[in-house]
Amino acid sequence: MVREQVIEIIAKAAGCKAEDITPDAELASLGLASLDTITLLFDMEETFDITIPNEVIAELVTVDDIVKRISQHREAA
Amino acid sequence: MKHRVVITGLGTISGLGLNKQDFWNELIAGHPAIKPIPAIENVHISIGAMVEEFDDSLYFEKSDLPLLDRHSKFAVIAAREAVADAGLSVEDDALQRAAVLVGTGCGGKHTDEETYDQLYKQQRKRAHPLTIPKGMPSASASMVSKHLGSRGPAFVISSACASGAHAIIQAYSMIRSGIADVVITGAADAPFTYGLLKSWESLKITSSDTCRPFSKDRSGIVLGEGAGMLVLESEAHALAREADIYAEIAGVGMSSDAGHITRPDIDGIKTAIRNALDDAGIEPGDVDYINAHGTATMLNDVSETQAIRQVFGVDADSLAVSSTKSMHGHALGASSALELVATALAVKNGVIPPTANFTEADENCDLDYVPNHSIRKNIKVALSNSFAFGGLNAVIALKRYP
Repeated sequence: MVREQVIEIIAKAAGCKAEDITPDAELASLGLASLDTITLLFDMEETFDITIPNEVIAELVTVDDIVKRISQHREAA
Repeated sequence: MKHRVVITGLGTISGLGLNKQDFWNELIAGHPAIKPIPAIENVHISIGAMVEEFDDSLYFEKSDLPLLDRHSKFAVIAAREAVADAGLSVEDDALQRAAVLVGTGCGGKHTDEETYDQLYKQQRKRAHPLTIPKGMPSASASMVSKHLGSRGPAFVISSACASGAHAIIQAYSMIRSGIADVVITGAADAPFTYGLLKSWESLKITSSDTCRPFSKDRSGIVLGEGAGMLVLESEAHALAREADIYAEIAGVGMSSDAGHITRPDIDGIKTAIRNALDDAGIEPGDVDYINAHGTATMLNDVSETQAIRQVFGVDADSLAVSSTKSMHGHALGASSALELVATALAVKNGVIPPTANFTEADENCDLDYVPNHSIRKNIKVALSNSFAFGGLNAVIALKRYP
């Protein structure tokens, strides 16, 4: 459920279809530069009502990285 | 060596239309753009000269929009028109090295207020991450340089209602001194936000009727919005590429009142006008037209009239003086740029746009204000006056070219 939602948000940000996004796709390869990624994380924070700490942002390289990070936050909440 | 500076491109977006042709047609027809504005709860200002709704997709890629505050959109749209008008394209080296100097009185208030509303009122936990780059006061210069591909010096100048004039004067100075040979300059403002409307309301100088500069029954300012952008070039650069020239910027004058924060100062106004005449090397009798600051406040119009009388003496009676704010409204910093565009077109076309909405002469405003109907007049020299809150005065002198 989280995975689908996350991928949906990424697809919207990248302007592509959800089915074209693979878990190991890098955000950069989807055309999302650093400021786009920050905006994407804002959308994630708003959607899931979580706060992603600044320190972990550099580790969020692939779609799966984001799915895992958000799942962790959801479980912790 | 001092380089001569000429105007080779003009662009506008305003209540009078989305391009400069509509702007000029409406101006010389004496048609005000002042209309009822969409009602906002608790806001008493009910009229304004707003830019008509336009389809963003005609001007921008969808991916550009998250970074474009309303005033930045205006700046880019008008800048593109000015550049095309000058016969420059993104492939041209001249445009790629051009400087971009944009004036703005308000900057990205739409963006700031939207975020503040979310934070203060809606108690949202986080601000949108593009709030800073979209709303920063210099955003319009960044957006214009990005969208034109201009990589020369770029920055914003802010001096309230004279922002456009000060930006254009800085552009002129850069060309005259040889720092740049092409500058895209002007100003943009978008003041129809809840916070700004409430703040203007409190100054109690906005009209609920319409804008009637220099008229006895004038009732205050009417806000407007939009952008006026110009392409300035060194004369040598313009001639080398056989560009059409609207007018020469013959001289500029500036001063500050160092006094009251809102009340106009006759001496400050006179100094700015005299400095412009001196810089241009022209006598008062050489001036045919003044595009006045003409806000339609009781104080401004009398002070401006007295200052003109004192500088021009007997020659004041042969001057045509009009306020185009009566039509495009007071678009704050953008006004001074829209007015210079109007002045350049007046010089080029030999037509003076009127002061619209004029009903009755005021004994304290006793110049020829070109009431309600445009006139044909051969203009050798014209001035554009801008006097900002905070006592920041700027006057630009245009000369017919050649």
